[in-house]
Order: sequence, then C-alpha cells, then structure tokens
Amino acid sequence: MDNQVILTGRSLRKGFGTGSKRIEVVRELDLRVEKGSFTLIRGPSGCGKSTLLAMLAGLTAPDSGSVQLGGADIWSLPRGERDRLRLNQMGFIFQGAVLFPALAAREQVAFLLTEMGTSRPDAMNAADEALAAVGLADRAHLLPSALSGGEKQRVAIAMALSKRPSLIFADEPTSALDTENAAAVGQLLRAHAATVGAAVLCVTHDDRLQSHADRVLFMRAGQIEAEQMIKESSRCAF
Amino acid sequence: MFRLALATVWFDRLRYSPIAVVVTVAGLMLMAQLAIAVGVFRDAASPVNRSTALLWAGPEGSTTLTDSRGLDTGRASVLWVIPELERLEPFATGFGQLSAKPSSGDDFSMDFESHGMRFVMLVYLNADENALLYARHIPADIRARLREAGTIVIGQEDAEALGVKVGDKLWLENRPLRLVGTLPGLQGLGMSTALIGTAGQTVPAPPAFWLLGLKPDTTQARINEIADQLSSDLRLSILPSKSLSEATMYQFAFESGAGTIFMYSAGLAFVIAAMVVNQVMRAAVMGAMREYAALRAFGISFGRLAALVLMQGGLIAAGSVTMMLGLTLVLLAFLRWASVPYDLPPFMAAVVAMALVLVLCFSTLVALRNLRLADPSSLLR
Repeated sequence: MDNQVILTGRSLRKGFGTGSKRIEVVRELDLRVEKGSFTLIRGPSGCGKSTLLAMLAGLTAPDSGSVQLGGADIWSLPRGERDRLRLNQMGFIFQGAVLFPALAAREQVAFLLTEMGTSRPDAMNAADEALAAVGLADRAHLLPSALSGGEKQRVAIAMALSKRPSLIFADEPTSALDTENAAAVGQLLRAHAATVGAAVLCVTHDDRLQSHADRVLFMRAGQIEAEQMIKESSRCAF
Repeated sequence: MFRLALATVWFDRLRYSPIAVVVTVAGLMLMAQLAIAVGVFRDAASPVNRSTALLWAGPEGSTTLTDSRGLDTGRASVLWVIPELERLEPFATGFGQLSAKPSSGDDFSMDFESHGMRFVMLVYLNADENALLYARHIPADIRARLREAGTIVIGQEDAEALGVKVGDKLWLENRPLRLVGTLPGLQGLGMSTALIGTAGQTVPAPPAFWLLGLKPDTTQARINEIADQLSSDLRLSILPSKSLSEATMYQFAFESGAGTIFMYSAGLAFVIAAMVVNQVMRAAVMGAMREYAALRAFGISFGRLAALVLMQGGLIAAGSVTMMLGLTLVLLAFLRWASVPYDLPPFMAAVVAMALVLVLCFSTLVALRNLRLADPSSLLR
C-alpha cells in the first residue's frame, strides 16, 4: 500500500503571531495521501484546513515538519523548483474561480499549458477537450464576464484537469454553486481521480461532496481528530 | 505570455488610457519645445549653414559668430598667404528698424508691429555671382538684383507684416531702400534677418568674420590643417564652418538660457510622466493581484509575472509613443503653416521617444515591487 502514497505530511506545525498573541493553527499533524484517492478535509472554521492545504501544496512554509511529494521534500527545494513542481504536478481549484477577465475560457486553459511548454496548437486542442469534459464546449469562446458562477468554476476545474496533474488541491470548490453544479464538480473530481490516478485533496464544508469522496478527514484545533472511509457502495457513480 | 499581456492591455484599455494621455502630452510638449528651440539655435548659425565657405576667420579667440570683436581688412589680408585661397569675403552685421513708411522722427516706439515696423538684424551681402555668403539660400535672380545700390531682401513673413511686396520702397531708419526679393526662413523667433546689398552702402567695420573661398580641389584634410596650423601661426581664429556653426548653436542653447529652460521643462515633463505611469501601473498590478496570486499558485514564477507586467508596460509604451509621434507630425505641420521657425532632426525626435519609453519602463519596474504582494496562500483563506 505504501507504494501508492503520493503525498506525505510529517509533524507539520504552523502558527501565526508572536508571544502571547501567537496562535498554533496546525499542530504536529501527520497525513498521507494515496494515488487515485479523493480526500475531503472538513472541520469548523479556523481549525487549520486551508493552512494545511497551503503547506501541502507548497504555498505556505510550515514552521516545522516536512512535506514529501514523490520522494522530494518540497520545502527543502529552492523556490524555483517548487514553482516548477506546482506547475507540472499540481492543479488548483480555489473558492470562487480566479480567472483573467481578458481571456476567453479556452485561452485561460491554454495559457497554463503553454507555460508548461506545450505548443500552442496542442494547448488549444487540450483546452477544447478539457472544456468539453466539463460541459463547456459551447462556452469556450466566452469571457468570464459572460459565464455564470458555476461555469466559471468549471473553467477553473478544466484549467486544473487539463494539466493532468498528479495532485489536485481544491478549496471550497462548491461553496457558491447550486446543487446541480456542485454535483457536477464532485463527479468531475471523482472521475479524474479514478481515471488518471491523481490524488484529490479538497477542503470543504459542503456535505454534497461527501458522497463523491472515498475518505473524509475531520480536523479540530489544528489536528486530525477523526478519519472516515466511504464505502464504494455508498459513493456516487460517475 | 505575450498574448496574455496583449489581451489584458486591450481589455483594460480604459484603465491604461491615462498613461497614453500623459505620454502623448509630455511627448508633444517636449517635441514642440525641442523643434522650436532647435529652430532658434539653428537660426543663430544660419549665416554659416547657408553659406558655401568651408572656412571662416575671425580675431584670435573667437569661436562663435557672436563673440567676435571684429577683424579689420588689414589683419584679414594675411589670410592671402594660404595658397588655396581664391576669395575673401567679409561677414558684417548690424541692426536697424525697417518700416513701410518714413519715420516721423519723434519717437522710438517699442510697439513695432502696430506701427508697421520690424527691428531686424542686417547682414551686409556681397552680391557677386560667385559670392559665398548665403550662397545656399539666395536664388541667382534675387542675388543679381541685390547688386543694385539701395536694395534689400527680407523674409516673406516680415514683408506680409510690413504690408510690402517686391518692388516697394522700405525705410531703414530714414533711408529709403527698394525691396528686391523676399525669402522664406529669414524670420527668427526673436529677430528677423534682412539682407542688404553692399553696393553703395557703408558697411560696418570691422567685419565680425571673413569667409574663405578655397580652390575647389582643396581636400578636407588640408582644410583641417589650415584651421589647426594657421590659426596659431597667423594669430587668428580660422574655423571650419561645421565647428563655427555648432559652437554658435551650442552657445545660443546654453548661454541664452533657452537650453536651460528646455532642460528644466523636459525634466519636469519626465517626472510628471513617471509619476502618472507609476501610479497607473501600480493600480493595474494591485487590481489584478488575485489573478497574479493564482498564477503564482499555479507555479508561474515571479520572473514570468514580472515579464508579463513588463510586456504590458512595453505594449502601452509602444501605443503611447506611436500616438505621440503621430500627433507630433500634426504639430509640425501646424508650425509650418504658422511660419514658426522650427527644426526637429529625426535623431532628436527618436531620443525624446526613447526617453519616454525609458520613463515608462522605469515606472513599470517600480510598479513591479507590488507583485511581491501576490501571495498565493491568500487564495486559501
């Protein structure tokens, strides 16, 4: 089983502030994420979910502890290499899609691929495929201002999936979506994990996603308080 | 990355429009000042530039047209020791008040124009067929008419201002002269030039300079040798026309204060442009901070983000400078139409344009500091 682990967090600690005002947000936290898994991280506000995600994704440096990705400790890498690791191996979906207002949907997706070194024709083809996969083939030419909130979030998912990353980090990806769109997002992430073998790590308060995940981690006060495995029979099919 | 820069600049063109406006206004201001200033400076050396003499001689120590104490005919005659010398021609100037009507003699009005008067610099001109002075500027027929006694040539704009035409009588102080021609390019910003034939005239003595007409086969090396060696041997100032022209223009530019005023206003325009560009670019960077933070999270390096912002600055600079240069052409057409003496050598226009581009690039570089605020972890809160 150990050879399927793609991401490992060991003894992660993170605090903010100094002296008596210092708050420990993440405390001695250990975590393993396996290939092809869809893991939800849940817990009350301020329990350290997003900080944990930021540390695992190489965005926020832990005060102590390590994050291993494919055998490399990402926090011992130079910043440039960490950037390249994120570009080539990670996909991100943020709460409320962050898109360039000036770029049409397919240009948004293709931009990231060309930054990875894909030729422009190939990037445009891959962008079209990714947008078709999220049901936006007929919206590919539109600017974000012409898209609904759900459609924007699906463009963001297309951006993340088109890279075919080995890890996807999602932060409240369904918070502003209706039931139908939330279900679509859950299915897309589940399908990607299953078909590509990517690990999906998703911070959420949204119960609607639980049926698509195969593991839920419950956090409280900076630590993982409980872990729940979801039986395959109770998961939604994709 | 270039596509993203182009798309964002076009999409946010209204946000960036203050840059185009300030660069265009600053550039136009600089171009207008430069064109007029260079026109004035060039006018100061126009007797040299419009003559065919390759060497000019003045008293020892003189380097410009205006700092000569004069060189009398006796002292100038030593120049005949130069074997290549074929012709020696005086350059003498004076000042006078021209009017279309004889003066009543009871006043000296400062309000020249309203009284149909022009205060002019008089250049006393040898009108021989092969004369050197103003040989590049005066057509043969007008030069021939200047050989008659009591004749004068003035600028076209001055003739219009005085209400006279060729053939009319003009009054220099109370002396009648016949206008035998009008020419463009004699109207200066401060004072116009009038060319007066030397036939029957009392020429002011001593002349400020002498024009040296050399044999046509005299080489440039020999000309330089004469200027270098004989200046000290004869204790005269023998100057190549190019040196005299440049020294006269530089003296006018820096000692008249016009150059200082230009430099001061140019500096001011650059500072204002830099401040506006910096503020707009800073606001643009701050406005897109969430998108930049996302790009950082996706793994786009700071270097690539900086390249993106620099490309945006470069595109804005290219657009702004193109607009500024287009409007400069319109401005120059207006100056020509208004008969304002100007000169804008292309390399000077290019220097102004490049300086504005550098200001834009510098301001953009300063705005880049704000990119450091693009914290990708802020998207996970």
